Amino acid sequence: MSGNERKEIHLSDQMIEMLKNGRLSAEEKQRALLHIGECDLCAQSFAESFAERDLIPLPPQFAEGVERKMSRLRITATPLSLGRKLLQNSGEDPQRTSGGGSAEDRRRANVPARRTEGSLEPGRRQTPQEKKREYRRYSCRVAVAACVTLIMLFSGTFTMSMSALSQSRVLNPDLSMINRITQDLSDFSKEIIHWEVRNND
Amino acid sequence: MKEYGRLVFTVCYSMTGDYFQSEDLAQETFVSAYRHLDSFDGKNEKAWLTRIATNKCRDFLKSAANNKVKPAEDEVFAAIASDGQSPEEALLSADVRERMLACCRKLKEPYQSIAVSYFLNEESPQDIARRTDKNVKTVQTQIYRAKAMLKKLWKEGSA
Repeated sequence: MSGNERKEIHLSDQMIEMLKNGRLSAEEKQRALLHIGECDLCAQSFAESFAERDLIPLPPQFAEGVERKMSRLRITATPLSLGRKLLQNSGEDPQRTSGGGSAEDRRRANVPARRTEGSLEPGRRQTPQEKKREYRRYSCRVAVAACVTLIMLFSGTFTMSMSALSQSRVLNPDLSMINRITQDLSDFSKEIIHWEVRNND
Repeated sequence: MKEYGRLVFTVCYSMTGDYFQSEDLAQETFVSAYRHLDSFDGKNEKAWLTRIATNKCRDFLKSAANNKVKPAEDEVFAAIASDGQSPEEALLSADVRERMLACCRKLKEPYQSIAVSYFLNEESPQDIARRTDKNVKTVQTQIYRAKAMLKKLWKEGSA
């Protein structure tokens, strides 16, 4: 099939209706969507197949959501300016624009800029080294806070156990030596008595 | 966005069948359109936005392997002669509204009333806060949680 012949093969109205009603297989649906994504004519037919009464109202705060996504990608224009810009004609051929064009754009789009400890410079994204540094700083802060908490927690317990130990020394004096001396004296006096008795006999 | 917002959202919903995913895809369509304005020749905005939305849906369906088409039923319908008009075709907007209402009813209070007010009655968080005498931040948090729950319910309903 030549390129010209391929360009003339468009989606019929019936095909478009089947696509909308979910009557195509997964593979056919992918092929149809692929074609619509590349063909202005079929895209126009597809768009026009939706009657005004069929159009679903936008979810609440839809425009705000678009603004949020744009700000994440550091795009400064508002959605309103999109309409103005659409009127401009750059003269370039329309390209497939899904997913943000190049892989680099897609990667950039998926990496939102994050705030560092200083203020984030507008339009600047963090390098991996900066991210690592920020992560290390955060880890240190958490570790220090944990240590301080543990010290405060256990310092109270340590003080209590020391005071308990000192109390036990005062309450329990060592009398073993006195008891031994008493016992020795008692034994000696018994021996003397026995010796007296044996002598008198 | 005022002119083509509903169309883009409807295109995304008709392809994915998921209200919240369609919202994301439609928003990404406009972001992508703005970022690639240079590639637009200025001739047909409707077709251009439709192409972007279609590509977004295609990428989503491919990556998520999320397909609402049931081949067995499709074969049956394909065998029936059709002039392009389906007798079962219902208004998309009414269908979406009914499903949303059904999902909202499954939520517990206060999320149910918040969800109905926000998603169906299209009240802003400020209006809801004023009416219910709550803090705006509280209402926004409840809306956020309700949305997360509705996403799950919607997917369960589609499955």
